[in-house]
Amino acid sequence: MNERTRISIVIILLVLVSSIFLTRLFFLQVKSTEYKIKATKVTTIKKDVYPYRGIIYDRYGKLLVYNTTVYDLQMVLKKAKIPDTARFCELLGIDKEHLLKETAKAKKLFRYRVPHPLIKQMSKERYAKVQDIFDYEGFEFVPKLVREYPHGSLANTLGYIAEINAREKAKSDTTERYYKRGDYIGKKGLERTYERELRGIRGVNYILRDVHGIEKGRFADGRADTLAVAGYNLQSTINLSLQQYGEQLMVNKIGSIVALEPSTGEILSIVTSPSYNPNLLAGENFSKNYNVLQKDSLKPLYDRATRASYPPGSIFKLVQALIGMQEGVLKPNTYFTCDRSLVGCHGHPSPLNLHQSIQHSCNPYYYKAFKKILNQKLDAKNQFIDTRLGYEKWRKHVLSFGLGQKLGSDISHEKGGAVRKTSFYNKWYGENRWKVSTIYSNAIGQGELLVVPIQMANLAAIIANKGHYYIPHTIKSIGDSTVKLKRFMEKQYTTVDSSHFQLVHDAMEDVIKAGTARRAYHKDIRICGKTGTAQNPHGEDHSVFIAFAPKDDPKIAIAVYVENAGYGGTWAAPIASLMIEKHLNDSISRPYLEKYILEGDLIKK
Amino acid sequence: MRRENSIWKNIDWLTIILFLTLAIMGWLNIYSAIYTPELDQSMFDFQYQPGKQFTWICFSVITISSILVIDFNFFFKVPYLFYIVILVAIVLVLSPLGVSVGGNRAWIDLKFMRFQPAEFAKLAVALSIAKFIDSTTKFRYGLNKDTMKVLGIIFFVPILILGVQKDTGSALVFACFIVVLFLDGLSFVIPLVGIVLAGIFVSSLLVNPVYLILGIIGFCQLFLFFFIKKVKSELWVWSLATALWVGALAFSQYIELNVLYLIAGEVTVVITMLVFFLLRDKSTLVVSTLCIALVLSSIPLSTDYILNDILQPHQKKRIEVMINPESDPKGVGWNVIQSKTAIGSGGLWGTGYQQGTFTKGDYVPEQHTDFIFCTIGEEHGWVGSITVITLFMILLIRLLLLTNRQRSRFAKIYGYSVFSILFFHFMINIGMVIGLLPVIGIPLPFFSYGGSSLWAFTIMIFIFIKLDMHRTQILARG
Ligand SMILES: [Zn+2]
Repeated sequence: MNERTRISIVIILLVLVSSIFLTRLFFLQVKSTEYKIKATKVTTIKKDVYPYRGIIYDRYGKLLVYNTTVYDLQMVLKKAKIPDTARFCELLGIDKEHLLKETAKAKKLFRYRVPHPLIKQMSKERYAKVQDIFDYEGFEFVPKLVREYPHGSLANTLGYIAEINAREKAKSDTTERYYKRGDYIGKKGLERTYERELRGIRGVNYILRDVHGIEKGRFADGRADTLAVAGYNLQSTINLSLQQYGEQLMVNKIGSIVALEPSTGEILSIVTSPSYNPNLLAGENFSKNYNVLQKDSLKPLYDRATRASYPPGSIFKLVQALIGMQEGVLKPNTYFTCDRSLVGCHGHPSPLNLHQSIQHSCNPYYYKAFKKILNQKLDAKNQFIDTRLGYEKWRKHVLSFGLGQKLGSDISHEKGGAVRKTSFYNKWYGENRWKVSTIYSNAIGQGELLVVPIQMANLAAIIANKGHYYIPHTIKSIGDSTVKLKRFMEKQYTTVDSSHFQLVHDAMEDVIKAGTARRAYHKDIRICGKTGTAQNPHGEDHSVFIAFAPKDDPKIAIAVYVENAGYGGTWAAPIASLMIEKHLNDSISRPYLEKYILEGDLIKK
Repeated sequence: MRRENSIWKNIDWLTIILFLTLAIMGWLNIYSAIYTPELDQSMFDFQYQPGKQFTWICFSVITISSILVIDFNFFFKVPYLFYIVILVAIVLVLSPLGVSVGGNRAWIDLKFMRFQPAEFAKLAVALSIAKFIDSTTKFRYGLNKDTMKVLGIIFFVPILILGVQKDTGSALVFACFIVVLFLDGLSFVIPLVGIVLAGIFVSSLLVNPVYLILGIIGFCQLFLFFFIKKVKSELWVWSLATALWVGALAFSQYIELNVLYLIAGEVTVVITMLVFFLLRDKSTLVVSTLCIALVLSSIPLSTDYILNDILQPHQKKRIEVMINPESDPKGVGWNVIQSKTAIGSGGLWGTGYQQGTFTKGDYVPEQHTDFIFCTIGEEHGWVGSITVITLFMILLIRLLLLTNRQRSRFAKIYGYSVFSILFFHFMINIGMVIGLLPVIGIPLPFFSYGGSSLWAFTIMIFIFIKLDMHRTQILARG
């Protein structure tokens, strides 16, 4: 074998090797798609871009809730250098244990190159202070958005957002499959009702990541990304200054205030007391604060304004009077004596007509009126059947006042109170075993009747409107749209003709001028109101008052319910009066009255 | 003056252009492999690898000039001294002068630079065997003292490297000198047997041994038929054996054959044929062919034994991984899976310079050193692969052809060495990166990051260019 042959053999070998390589590479690179798919999978991750959650304004454009930036301090263990632990901790306001604990946690999770949050949600103020002098390697401040409330009011109505739980996720998945684990969702209040409008639409960034999970830029320079769409801003019907005033008045009292604009059904203010500062549930300490609030015996997380069912007490007499007139069994000149053998009453002239019965809130009058409404001889032979038929008729009227069922406002978790069906009494006493004397407590708003404060305010609005209402609501407009949700623009009629209301208006004015609520009197504002004192078997009676004003052009309808405050005229009426004055005049002309309310402590008592 | 001119005229510009093209491509690739957009690093920034590699390139240019300028006789004088210096340097790695990079203690720190003696050892061996064979009168390959001395010069170094650094890759490259000796006249039988045995061994891992054995026997039968006339006179014996062979092949497709039964059957046939021919005609070629068939058939059966009892566990692992990378996706297999994915994602045209997502993402370990070919595959696609492989092929063939025109044995042996060393690095490195060969950590010449390697290859090639320039004078000297 000569040299030439040997060289040829080696060249053939070389060409052979090269051809094998190129063939192999052809299959790897051109023929097979497996590796291309694998490559994009390994290196590209989908990263969600969270949209800016919509913010909420009050009716005059003041901020109710907005987003604020907080900072997570992230630590990359591999690069982190802390030469002076004491100074480091002092600067950040943490203790050494926290640092050690988080470091151990990062190690346990194998986060050596991947950032680990050392401090979550540092406030903007603290960040501003720390940022300039913070010179440690391997740390990074990462901005994040959280909800913030500039006022500390309206907590239960605004609600809060928190991480979605498994049940909520499963429920939402049946319709849209939007949420992911760890997403925030509106849990209560407006945040919950308007979740869809507020949350916006999430965007996606395709991020290239290296083998350690460290980001290396955008996939295809971001051409595949989708932008996040910010949520809609909402304008509320709430009058923030009235709201805050109401909350102030209700300090140290248990109960609620709901104020509506009768002509629209817009909620001007909705106070529940005691409440909490909404900022407590917005930051890093959500769970800690939530637990404290939940354990509080005064239940600050309980929205009494829309959830607490109370006996309405004497304010219900207004409904009775109207139904009686509609049914034709009560006339303006229907006189009854105050027969205290039927039911207790208090000192006032007797006998009295319909107008006076409201003005003086006479109990026996309404006992008799109730009997007249229920026993209209629809069945002449059987008194029991007659009562049942009358009750059914009566109940239909009562329901038309927005009682006995949820109003359908936009506040989440609303309750509807109770106006019992006949089946309830049939079950309780037996069929055809009950008559008016059995259920007479209902005549004066006691007994089985239960009403929620927002329904009481709505009742005041109905009377102010002379027979109709709009479903109470807190949001006027969503985004750029100035049109309200349809259900809030539909007039809801009661079954009582508007002609019957004038008498009630006049009588309610006299309640203030010369009746049971003289403390609510204001010399310049013609307030129409009605007191109530709901009997409370567990303690002091509840103090109730509903009102609207001004009489000839109602701008505000209000219900005040103060638990264990005794007589309706004592606490509830002056609070309502102050609220009315505040809303109409934006100032208070009766500092003595205000002082009396502010200093009243009905909890410690 | 005239003489000077003729020397510069003799320089082989094609080799130099090929060298420069590969070196510049390599440097750009390292820059891309290291490149991270956030760092905004310059290609010349000494802090980063591309910058360092650039200084090595500058360094190489100085070296090139020196090589081209100094008297060529110098290269005849230094080999043994150089060889000894390198041996000392390899041992010095263990001394305090030695430094570890990436867990591998293979560098010597000379303060102003670090270098890897093993990279220069190949050069030392090439020069030394060239000098030895050239200076030994009447050198002949065979079972003689001189041949043993040559083999000694060659194999002492890898044994030392293995002993000192436990670096299989660097040691393995010395096997390339077999090709040198073959080109120089060593009987082809030895390398051929080696290649065939290794080929069958590797094939038996990939292919069902049944088919492999049938293949070997079939090949031998064909060989007998076409090359040995005597077989044709006794065609019926051959036909019988072939019929049996076809039967076994057809049978094997339907039934899971027990290898041992098959071997027993085939061995019977072969031995019958053997006995038959031995009795009738003592043709050595026929007999030896049949014997070879028997021996070769036994290799696939011994594969398991070699794999399990002779190889070290980590070597076994590497062979397993080569056959099935998924078997060890987090260990050695990781590199192979990742590098295949990176290359595979390149497609026909690649993702573009500095656009390789895998390259950017640090997914392939040793991306800028041993696995640098991934960057080419990913960023420049199959077209890039063809370009690089073709350039290497042209360079290698050019080196062979240049060697062939050398008149002196020294230059010839040296030229074959340069060729063989480059060829082995090229073959083993790319074969490893695309998952055809086990993971053996040796660099791809001019592309892999590493000053010593680049510098050593440069010197190696330019010494040859220098020798080529003076080929007429060297002859005169002889
Ligand atoms: Zn009375």
